[in-house]
Amino acid sequence: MELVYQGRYFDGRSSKPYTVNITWLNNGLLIQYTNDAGEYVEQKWNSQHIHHTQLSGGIVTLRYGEIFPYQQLEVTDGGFISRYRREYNTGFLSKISLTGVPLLFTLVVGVGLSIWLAYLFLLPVIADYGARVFPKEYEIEMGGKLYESILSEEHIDTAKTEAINGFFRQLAIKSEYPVRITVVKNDIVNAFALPGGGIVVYDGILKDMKSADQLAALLSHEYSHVELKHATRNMFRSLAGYLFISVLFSDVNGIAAVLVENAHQLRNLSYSRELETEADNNGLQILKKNHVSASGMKALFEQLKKEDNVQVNELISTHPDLDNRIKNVELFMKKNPYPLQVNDSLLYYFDELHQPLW
Amino acid sequence: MEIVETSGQNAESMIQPEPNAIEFKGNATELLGIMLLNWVLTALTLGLYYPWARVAKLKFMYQNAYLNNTAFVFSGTGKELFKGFIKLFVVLVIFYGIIIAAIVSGNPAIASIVPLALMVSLAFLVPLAIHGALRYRLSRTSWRGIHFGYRGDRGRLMGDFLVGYLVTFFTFGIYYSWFVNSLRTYIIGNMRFGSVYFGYDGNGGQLFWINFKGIILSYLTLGIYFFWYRTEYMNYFAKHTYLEQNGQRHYLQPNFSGGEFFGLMIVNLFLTLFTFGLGTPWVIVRTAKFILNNIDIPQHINFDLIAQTEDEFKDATGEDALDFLDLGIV
Repeated sequence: MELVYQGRYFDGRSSKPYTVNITWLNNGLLIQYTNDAGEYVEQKWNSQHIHHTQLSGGIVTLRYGEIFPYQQLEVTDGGFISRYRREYNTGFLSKISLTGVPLLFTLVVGVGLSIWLAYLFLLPVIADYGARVFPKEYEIEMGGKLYESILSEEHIDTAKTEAINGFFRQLAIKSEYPVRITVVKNDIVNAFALPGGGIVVYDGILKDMKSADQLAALLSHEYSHVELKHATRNMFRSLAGYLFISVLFSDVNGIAAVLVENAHQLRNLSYSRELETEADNNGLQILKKNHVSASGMKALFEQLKKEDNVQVNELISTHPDLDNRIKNVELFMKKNPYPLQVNDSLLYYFDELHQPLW
Repeated sequence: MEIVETSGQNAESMIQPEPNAIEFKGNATELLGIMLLNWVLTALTLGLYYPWARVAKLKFMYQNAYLNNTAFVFSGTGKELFKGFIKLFVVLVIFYGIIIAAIVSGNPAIASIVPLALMVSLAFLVPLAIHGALRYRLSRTSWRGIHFGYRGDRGRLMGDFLVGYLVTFFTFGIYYSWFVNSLRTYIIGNMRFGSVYFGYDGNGGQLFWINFKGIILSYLTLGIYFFWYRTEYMNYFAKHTYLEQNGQRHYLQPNFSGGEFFGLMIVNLFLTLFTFGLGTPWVIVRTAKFILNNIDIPQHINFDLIAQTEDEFKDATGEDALDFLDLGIV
């Protein structure tokens, strides 16, 4: 004995509802009703042309046919709905019902955690890979443009620029990048490296330098940023982070996005700390190769520490934790004893940098 | 405002079994489930799932909006939206490609003029996107199997839009109210719900005074009045929107209140701020309920007698473009 279910039927030509009897057939549904004219009508729905439209609020909506306009059927009967779900494929995603509170809670925590872990660990790896395969020529070209635009707003000290480049050439560095160093007249105690070989040194940092070793340490540190593609890597990380967040929150409006973006900025800062340590270590290797004392780097950090107390500048935020970095240099010196050599050329250029030229 | 009451009660409206009512019954927890799944799949597929995510969300909104206890149906598919998404993506890549190339070229004349010209040409994209989105979205919207539709002309909309835009620009924004009013008249006047026509008969001058008064008072009250201003604006807009059946106009009857709108927006703000986006489903559901539950559908229209009149339209490029430009259409 076949069960008969009740439903509402629309013929696709008008919005008039018909109350109909529905019977399951082997290969579809049989719909029977009486139309306005009092005539008995039978519609046979072939299962392969039945399309599940939606299941919501206890109503299942089905559509029939491949050519517009479509007939439509709405059924609220629980028995019909569960039978329909059993016999017809309602799609993988519609089978997942996420209404239970504990399940939802677990999902929120699980999803949140995995997204956070992906952001923390997977994203830097992908971004670093991107930076590694990013062609060197583009890096140099892009860095060059950036370098020019930054310097166009600064006063360049030509004599010191010449001297500092002379100093750098005396270090035994074989670089794949065209290294260009520019000294800028500015009291800020800072120096930074751009992608592709540009290095900017503010003469504020040169004024209080006591020895050529310190300058060698500074330049080898900044050069390490170039060689290790730190600026490019940082850029890729920011970009990837931004993309990740905007894709994730594509449908969240303004405020949340701004909050999340700021959170990302904070993360970016600690990326830099990790990269700073990398540059320190690479810089120490360069000093070792040149037989220049690593104590130059220690002295540099001590100088920065002293300046920290005097003026707040960008160096503090991106070069945090100077004590730890000094400890790192001391550890390196203990583990890597090497003979020192006095390099007259370095001393010559260092003196040039310190001579008042007017 | 003149509300045309239909006096001619005929036999058809006598058989009407229950009063006309529109209602949003969505459950925010269910929407959170949908959005979480969307986020995960979009992140895992590096954004490619985005069109399907959008469809899932739209379906939720539609199937929870009830007119006379029958839900609306959104029958668009992720595949259709994906095709539109790809087309739009290609256009945008070319667009930004040209801008970047112009900037990198080093020639200062090219670097300044080309990006500017392209940004201006973006203004042409707005009416195109509105047109495409309306055609697609409405053709994918149905109720009891009867499809909505948009019959506007693309060239006409573009012309009106650009002229209105320029006049607004050269009148320092004064024309804006008339501009919006005429766009609405054209767009809504071309919307169909089967054999039922939509229409809008608001007046630019009246809209101007609502805006003028609203902006001045909002400044004077440090923004507090803003909520009452927007409420008056929404009421005006809805009150002048009608459905036309058999030559009879039936106006919507909105009853948005400033206090309620203020409450809605304040709570929505906190729901967004302190949940890092997880409160978004509640914001969406609360807003949809506020809108639909505060609009009364005219009683003398017979929703059982709507005939199918519209065709199918399958190009979803406009829908995607509108979403990218972040211009929500209600």
